[in-house]
Amino acid sequence: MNTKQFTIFVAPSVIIMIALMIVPLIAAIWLGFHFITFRNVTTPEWVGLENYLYMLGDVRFWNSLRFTLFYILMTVPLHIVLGLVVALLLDQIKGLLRGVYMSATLLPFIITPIVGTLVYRQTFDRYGIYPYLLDQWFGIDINFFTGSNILILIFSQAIWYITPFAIVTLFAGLQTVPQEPLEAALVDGTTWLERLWYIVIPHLQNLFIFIGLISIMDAYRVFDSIFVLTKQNPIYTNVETLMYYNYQVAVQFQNLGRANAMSVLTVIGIFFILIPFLIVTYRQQVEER
Amino acid sequence: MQATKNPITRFLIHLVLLAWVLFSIVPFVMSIITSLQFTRDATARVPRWMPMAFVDHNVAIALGIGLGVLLLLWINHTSQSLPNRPQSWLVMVAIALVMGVGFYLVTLNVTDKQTFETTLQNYQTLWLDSPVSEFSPYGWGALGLIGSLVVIGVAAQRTPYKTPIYLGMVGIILGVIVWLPQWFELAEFYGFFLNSVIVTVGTLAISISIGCLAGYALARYSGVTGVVILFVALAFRALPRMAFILPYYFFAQISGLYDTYFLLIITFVAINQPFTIWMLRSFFMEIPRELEEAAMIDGCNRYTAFLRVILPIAWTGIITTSLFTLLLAYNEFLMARLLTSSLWTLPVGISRFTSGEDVRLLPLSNASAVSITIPIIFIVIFFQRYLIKGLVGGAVKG
Repeated sequence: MNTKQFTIFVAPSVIIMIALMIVPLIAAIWLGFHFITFRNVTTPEWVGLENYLYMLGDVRFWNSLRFTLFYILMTVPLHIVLGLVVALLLDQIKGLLRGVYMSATLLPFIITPIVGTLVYRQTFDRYGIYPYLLDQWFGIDINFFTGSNILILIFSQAIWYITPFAIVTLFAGLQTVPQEPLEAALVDGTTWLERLWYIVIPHLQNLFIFIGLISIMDAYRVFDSIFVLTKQNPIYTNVETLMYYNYQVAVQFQNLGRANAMSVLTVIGIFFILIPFLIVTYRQQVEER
Repeated sequence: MQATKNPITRFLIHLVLLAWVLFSIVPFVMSIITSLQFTRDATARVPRWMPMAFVDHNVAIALGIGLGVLLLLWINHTSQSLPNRPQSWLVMVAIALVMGVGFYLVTLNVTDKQTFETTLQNYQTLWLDSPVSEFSPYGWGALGLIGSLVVIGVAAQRTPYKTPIYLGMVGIILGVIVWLPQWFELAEFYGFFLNSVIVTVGTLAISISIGCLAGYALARYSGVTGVVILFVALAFRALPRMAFILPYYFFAQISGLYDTYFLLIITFVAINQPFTIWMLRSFFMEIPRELEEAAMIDGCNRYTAFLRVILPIAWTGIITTSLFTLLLAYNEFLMARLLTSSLWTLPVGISRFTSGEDVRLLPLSNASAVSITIPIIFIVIFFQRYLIKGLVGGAVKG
């Protein structure tokens, strides 16, 4: 394929990406220098660096950044480990039941996140089934929506929603593990754990990086689940993520200039987090070529 | 890894998996139950989870469950052409018996406090503005249409005209969806549904057609520009939505495109484009270069070779990518919320229930949750093969 044909083929896609991703990004930086509310959207007022400085000095911004990082640290490793465990168990099952387990597991991942979170929240709510069962079976009387209890809800929902992705990808990866070394190791009298640790996990290494990359990206911009789980109640400032606070600045405080400045800062943040991953991927692509 | 033969270990594995499955689906089951309740049952202190009709007709339903499970197991058994051993029949009958008798025993042991009266009132409030009696002839007609479409779809699989028949069916379904409001009064929720369908179909059409061109070119071109484009696209995949949405809002207000289908479709296309070209590229890379080289020796040029030789082979990859694009467009909430004021899609429509202060709305919010989920479940059941393939394909290559 020569360069001219290549240009014609990629042109529509690249034009869309330039017009609707690169231009808006530059516009976001520019809009961050202005005072804008929903009333004067078309006539922004230049205020210089004020918005950026305000956001950098904003306690809630730093709190939301800290909570987002905490969220990533809590959920990403946990869901990779859980995904591996469930994938290994699924690998032991054959036939109809495997399909049934797989479909049921995938369900939370496929359906609309805002709907999934809503039905998940309702099972923990006042008339939900879980608080009732906890009370009946274990005598634990717990309100999941007070104080730091909501953290249980947020993290368990993250596991519930995103683990299916890790399960399916790791399950697929398990099917590609070469059989010869496994059989050789079996002859040598190794235990199951040793085979897992020395043969299977090294084989899945690239997959762990891939899942980690995708889930860090998604966890960094988590919005829907926080939006639903906190019921948009202002008392939960301690569990604000970056995207949720950004939304608050835009919609609740109606300060679009500051919201733009904040989104530019979050974009810079994600690049710092992802630099090692991006370098690895870039090297892989160059090698593949 | 070797499957273990130890029966106790196998039992434990099933137990753990079953626990995981329960954790995954309990919210949905509870949602379906609540959507069929009156508010007084939905807000009872003891959760009411057993429909009264199930208790009243427990023997018949238990028989139905037993026979249904047996039939399902039998279909699975024959379709996989497993050996016909007496033991396997015994196991199948035993499973069916346990399920049927289990259901019967459960219905015997529920108390009055655990049963509820089922109602479709919530769904009616959501979808219909006219009384049900006016709707019912059309309802039966719709059921008949769905039934005949399923039969045609299954039958079409064996004919060479599969693709045109499927496209025709999609056309009929879309036509019915769009024209339905002309025939009788439908409620607000139908408007959300219509908006969702229009936006999703538009996004699919544009995103996949330009994504195919770019994905194919990126799979075949070996210059540095290709790697740079892919790399930049991956970086865009990482960015928080807000960084795009606020400028979109600004430009939409200036250009007057705010609250139009065009704006929603074009921005959804842009947001999904990085993912689309990465995925389609990986599918096009699986197709050997020799194919189009042979076609080009036979007199095709690059463009006709792509249209006539490569696209028909890449069908699986295209359907798989379409499925994911469809889910992304159908599920998107934040962008649809901030870029529209009247053209609400389904996720925006349901978001008014998310503050959860008014418990009287509990059955209604669950009915809308179920209503949003049903189309996805249908699509996923039809295309499950492609869904797994997509998740797997993207993963194994990294």
